[in-house]
Amino acid sequence: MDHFKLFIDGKFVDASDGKVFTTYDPGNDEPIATVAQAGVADAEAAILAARRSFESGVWSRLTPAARAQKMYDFADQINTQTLRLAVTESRDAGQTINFSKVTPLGFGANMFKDLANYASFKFPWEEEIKAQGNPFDHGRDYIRREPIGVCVGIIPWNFPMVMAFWKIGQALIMGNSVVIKPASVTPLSALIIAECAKIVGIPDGVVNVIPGQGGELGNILCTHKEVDKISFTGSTEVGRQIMQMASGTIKKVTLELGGKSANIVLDDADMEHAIACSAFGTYFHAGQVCESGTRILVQKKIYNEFVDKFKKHAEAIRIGYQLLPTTHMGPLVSRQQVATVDGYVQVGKKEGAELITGGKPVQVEGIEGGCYYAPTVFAGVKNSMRIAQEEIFGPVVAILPFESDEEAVAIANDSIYGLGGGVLSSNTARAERIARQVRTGTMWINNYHYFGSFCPFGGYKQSGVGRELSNVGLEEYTQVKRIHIASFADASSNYTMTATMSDNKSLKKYIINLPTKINAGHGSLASVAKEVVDLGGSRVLLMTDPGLVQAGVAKLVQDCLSDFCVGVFDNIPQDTDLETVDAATEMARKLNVDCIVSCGGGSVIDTAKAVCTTLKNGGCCNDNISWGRLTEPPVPHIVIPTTSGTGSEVTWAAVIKNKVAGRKSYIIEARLAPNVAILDPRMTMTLPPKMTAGTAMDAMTHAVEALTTITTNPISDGQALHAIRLIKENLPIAVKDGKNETARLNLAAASTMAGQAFTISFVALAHAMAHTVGMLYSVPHGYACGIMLPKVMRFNVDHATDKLALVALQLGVNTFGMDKRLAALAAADEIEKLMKEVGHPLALRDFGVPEEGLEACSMHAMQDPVSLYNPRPVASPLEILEIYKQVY
Amino acid sequence: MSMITLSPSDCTTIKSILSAKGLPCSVRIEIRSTGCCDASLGMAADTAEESDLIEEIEGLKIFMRPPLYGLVGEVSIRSVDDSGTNEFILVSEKPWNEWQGFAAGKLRT
Ligand SMILES: NC(=O)c1ccc[n+]([C@@H]2O[C@H](COP(=O)([O-])OP(=O)(O)OC[C@H]3O[C@@H](n4cnc5c(N)ncnc54)[C@H](O)[C@@H]3O)[C@@H](O)[C@H]2O)c1
Repeated sequence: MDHFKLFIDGKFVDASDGKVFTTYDPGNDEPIATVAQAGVADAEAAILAARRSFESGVWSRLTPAARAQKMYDFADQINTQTLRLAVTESRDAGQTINFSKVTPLGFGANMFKDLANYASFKFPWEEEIKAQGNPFDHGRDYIRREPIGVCVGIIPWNFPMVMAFWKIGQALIMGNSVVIKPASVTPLSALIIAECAKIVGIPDGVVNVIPGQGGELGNILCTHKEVDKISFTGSTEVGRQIMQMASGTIKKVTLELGGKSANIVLDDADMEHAIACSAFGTYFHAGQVCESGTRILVQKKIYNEFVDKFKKHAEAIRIGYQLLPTTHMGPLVSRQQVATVDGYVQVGKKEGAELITGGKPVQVEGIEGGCYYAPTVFAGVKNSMRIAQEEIFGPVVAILPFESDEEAVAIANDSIYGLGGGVLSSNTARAERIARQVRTGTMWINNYHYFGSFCPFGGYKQSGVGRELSNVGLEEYTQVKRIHIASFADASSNYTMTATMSDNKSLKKYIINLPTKINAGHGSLASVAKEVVDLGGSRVLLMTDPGLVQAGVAKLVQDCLSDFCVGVFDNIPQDTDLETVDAATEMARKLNVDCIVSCGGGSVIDTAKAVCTTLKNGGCCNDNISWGRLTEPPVPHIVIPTTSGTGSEVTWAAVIKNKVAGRKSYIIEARLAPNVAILDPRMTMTLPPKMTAGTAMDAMTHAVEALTTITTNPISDGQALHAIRLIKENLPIAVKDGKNETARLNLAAASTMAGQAFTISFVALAHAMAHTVGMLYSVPHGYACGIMLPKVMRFNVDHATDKLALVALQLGVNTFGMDKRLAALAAADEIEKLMKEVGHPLALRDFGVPEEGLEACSMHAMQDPVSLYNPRPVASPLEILEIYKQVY
Repeated sequence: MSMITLSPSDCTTIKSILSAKGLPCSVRIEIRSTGCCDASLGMAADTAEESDLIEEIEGLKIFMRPPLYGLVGEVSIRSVDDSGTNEFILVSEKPWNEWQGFAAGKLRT
């Protein structure tokens, strides 16, 4: 008789205490081989060998491609040993030779090659995170997947060879070392696979196989600190205990446990196929398959016919010795299993189910002994019966009737398990509808027991956790590591660090990313068609608003676009909203637009920006409210601003009202910056004086705030300061004489520069407060900004003194001999003077804001994200309330 | 020789589980499958049948079918009921499977 030894650290060795056990052929009870029986000391040695091999890197640090080459050799060696593996497996586990002879190729060699190849060419070992989803900070982040370490694989007795292939193959392909504990009644195939590993030169310690008693070895395998992962296939009772034990050292666990799967036969199924498929689903390997369809649910209309035919089919199944190629169904694995199955048959009878065939052990002619059991059918089963709820793990099927598809789903789901299942029907759509509703890991339609290297397998509910095979199964054998490299090796690279642990809240880093091309000057509108061409567009949607249509401005643009313009969307309100963006997007989709030209103030430009990103990324506007998420440019966008205020023609931002939430939402994305801005002063000439003043004060607020936030820097300071000077000098002229082209162009330039400045340095409290009253009381944005600005400057005076003193200079205040603080305060006074001069409103009450609403406004403004950038930290809504009262 | 080993405190645990549910003071030792491969020994609230082998410990009747006794021999029962989960580990003279003693099962009521 053959003797098999343990395989530890690349050597075949006897158990340290010399223990040996015998393994038997369940088809005739004959002993097959003696096997060394591992004890705790052997398990310890195997775990430590696996750990050493893992840490040494001989396998774990090979490239996936190098490992794949070895796995291909391993696979070829398995193919070479096919017959030995097949016959040994059949004798050891009772599998029919017709199945075991295809196992080494189908479930071993092929799977090794498939998954090793996938791991070396397609598995995402390293993945760049293109958008981190952190709105505040920058850096490079990537994901690295690394092997876990020492993986224990505990294998059941029903498919010992297949399970050894799965657990060794996946673990090794992903760079791990393994300790395999085969089931004690079926230890041989795993040891032959270990031989194959040795022959092809898998490094010592990477594969270890230790047959032994689960009760004795389970504890050390599941609690040893050097074990990183346990992959167990077996009973739910043992799986539960393994999970508990693994929790002591927080090991990763995958469990593939029991099942009581429903195979649903619909009234439109092909009867012959339904019978054959359901019988295969139940009696394959004598029902000792965890995902077997042991509950056959049959639609009432065909129930009687099905039961009759199924009985005949079951009775025709040829039971015999497993090595005979004529055998349909071999023995159960052991006497204990025969007793277990028979016990359940007695339970079924007692519960009142109708035993229509089988239900007893069978003696096979010409063989003495053996563990054979007749294919057994219970009809009239209720799903509450134990034979419908507990996994019998033998050739016993329960047939249950059902009326409707919904009832079939309900019965299928009425189980603690969810491993497999099937639907038999000639209507695939109907079958798929059912398959989607059953809470289970695999559903086969018009098929059963179909596996593949790239098809994940595992369970819902008490059938387990995790998956085997496929990319999902391979993931289970890796750890995920994220590596972050700060873009700035400086504290200011981390907003939280500065905000929480530093007294100086200012962030010294800055990034200039202003990709918008600017065409400016008299007649620059004419460039629009060429820009469309350069951006690869040919179907342009012109976006504008009713005021601009009425003023004749939109028409000028449409004429310049000529044939490129395939549609005009002009239904944009002041302070745009999600619904408007969605309507415009729908129109753009219908017209198959490939370029957007927007002509208007901030409301139009922001709508267009949101349409561009929504068109590119799909869904509706609300799906595309993002802050640093975009990894690809949106649809090309050319902007022709008609107010000189928002700077939106160059900024990364779009501000969209969310009426349901009662807030303004921001899209803030570098990629949202329009491709081209055309600053043609003629486009702003029709803007009425009051609006000219209001929008210019928006630009002024951008400039002053960009100069004073916690993220200021010399480059944006330059733009901001010059913008302030241009506004101060040109606004009174443009208000007096709207047709003064020089003043208009200078204001447009100032607005664009202020937009660039705040894109780099952000805005702060005045904007938070303006957004709030804009949202809650529809105060036009520019006016709201202007009203807030001087008061917020005074609030910030001790936190931005130098900068505000510079503002005073730009505004033409004679600061000679003044202390800086006084100069800073003089800047605020000067702004108020300018506002009065140009007829800009000075109080919120002028816009119908109720005084009693100010308290709620202060809460709202405090929560506006831009308030975080204010130079003076805003400690409480009461401080904001105080400012609101001042401007009321 | 006794068929069952059960400590007085574990016996009390079983009796209190049964009485809390209004069940008679008697349990069957049975083979129970919990899915995929190994079935195990478990206990279920039941009433004895004529053919059963019965042992009574402090008012608790414990019984099993003679063929099962033939297969497993004497059985010791230990409660692991420290978390109120009503779970017991059953260990038999002739082990039913290789995982004997490893995991606990519920008293089926
Ligand atoms: N994206 C950004 O960077 C950014 C920056 C600041 C403000 N905003 C947003 O911009 C919006 C405000 O934009 P806005 O101040 O430019 O005003 P707007 O776009 O709301 O336009 C206001 C009104 O002026 C009219 N108008 C515009 N140009 C005209 C012209 N040349 N002749 C006659 N009428 C004209 C419009 O028809 C409209 O009725 C707000 O929603 C605000 O939140 C966005």
